[in-house]
Amino acid sequence: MSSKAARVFNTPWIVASHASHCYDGGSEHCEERMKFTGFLLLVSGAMIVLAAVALLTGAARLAFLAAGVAIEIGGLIATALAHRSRGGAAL
Amino acid sequence: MSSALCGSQPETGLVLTVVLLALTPFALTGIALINAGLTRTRAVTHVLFSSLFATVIAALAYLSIGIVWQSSPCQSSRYLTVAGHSWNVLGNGAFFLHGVPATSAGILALALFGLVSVSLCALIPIGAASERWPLGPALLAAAVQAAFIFPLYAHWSWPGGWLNQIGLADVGGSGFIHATGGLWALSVIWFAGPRRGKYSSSGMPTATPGHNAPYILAGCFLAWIGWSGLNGAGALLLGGAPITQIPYVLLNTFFSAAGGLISSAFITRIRFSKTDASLCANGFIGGLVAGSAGCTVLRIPEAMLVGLVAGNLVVFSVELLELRLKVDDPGGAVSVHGLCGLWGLLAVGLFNGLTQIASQLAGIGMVLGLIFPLTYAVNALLNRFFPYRAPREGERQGMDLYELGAGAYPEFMLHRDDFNLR
Repeated sequence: MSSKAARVFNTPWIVASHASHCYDGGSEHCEERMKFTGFLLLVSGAMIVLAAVALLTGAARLAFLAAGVAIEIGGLIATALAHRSRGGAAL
Repeated sequence: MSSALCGSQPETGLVLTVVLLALTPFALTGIALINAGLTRTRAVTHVLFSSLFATVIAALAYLSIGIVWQSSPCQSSRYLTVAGHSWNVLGNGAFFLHGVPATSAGILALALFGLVSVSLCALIPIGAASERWPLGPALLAAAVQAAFIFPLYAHWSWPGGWLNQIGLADVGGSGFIHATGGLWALSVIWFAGPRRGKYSSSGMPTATPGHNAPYILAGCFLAWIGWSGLNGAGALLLGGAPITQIPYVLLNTFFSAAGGLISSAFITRIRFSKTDASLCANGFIGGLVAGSAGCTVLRIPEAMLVGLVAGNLVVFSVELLELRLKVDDPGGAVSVHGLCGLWGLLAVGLFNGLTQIASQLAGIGMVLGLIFPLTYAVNALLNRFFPYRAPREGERQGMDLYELGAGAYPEFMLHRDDFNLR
């Protein structure tokens, strides 16, 4: 794998590792990364669901659909955590 | 849907369909009343007026633009061929139903059903972001939702659409009305932020109860009537149910709502030592929402079980969203419509075998993975040009006085500046 391809492949995991530090009291920059990670997971899950519907049948389709939805739920949780306002005090 | 209904031939079911469709506006009235009851006195008129106006704007946007992307099972569609299989991905209708003869009962009945569905979908975020979402952005959001986002998912899940091709069952709108509306509400709340004074500086939420429990409970009765119409009409138009099955559909509708009410009453009694009327009302609506998708295929005990789970979901998720995720949702829309809508979709699969589970998961996957990010992007764009957050002065005065110039109870209610200003 070339270094450029490796960088592209690794980007989501690097972002996710940064996001995991944002859970509580992270910076605004941290929250932005977490939102990005969440949406990346939501769209990735949707792509898995679409691919499963188009290309698979039977038990394999069900397994990939469940995996896709599980990834989407992970994305939704990450997005929700990133949007937690800081006590509403700033507003 | 029968081919007779798609053409101009009258049939016995048409009369029943029209009667059921005539009941559906009660669902809108019920939800609007519940939203108003769960709001503080300073924004009651604003919530009801926004609901009425959003209903009109959403209906106009849907009939003028949305109907083009959605069309109906009786009209032509656009197909995409993937791996040798043709998928119906987009409608091919005409603006303002142009060219549809006045006697095309099927197309017009479906348009009316879609119109009520999209209006109900547009009401959901208004309760969620009440007391701080100005009228202009709320109406603009309703128009965009009705013109572009609702029709897209509705086309996929209605008969003929690609989700329906793989067997998705959602005749009453758990997915295309409530899950999409609930997730739309979540993104609106994120952009609008919590109400002033809702959270202390340490992040603890303060109790801000609604102003009128009788509104909330009366709204539940009206919603029940409206839901009976919506599920009955959906069963005939989208589910292809025979007329003889309609009483069964209405029984299912009632028992899922009953399950939601009973479980939420039981849980609140145990947890808070007193039965919480507003949470129970939300549990009742959660039961209606969850039971909508499978009202033709679930047996009565299954429908009740779906409602029982929905009631639990409402009580626990309202607390989780408010305490842990800092989602200030006065109407409980995210829990009641979003979460219970998704549960309703899944429940149909759980009671009908593995193949059905796969179809329902595909429906859930599209709501979460495509419709929700699309919704979020649209709201981000709208919020940039038309801020979702009312000015500070608007919140201080109350949206009734600030935007409409008159309060709901001018003769006996004084507005007290009771915000926790820091």
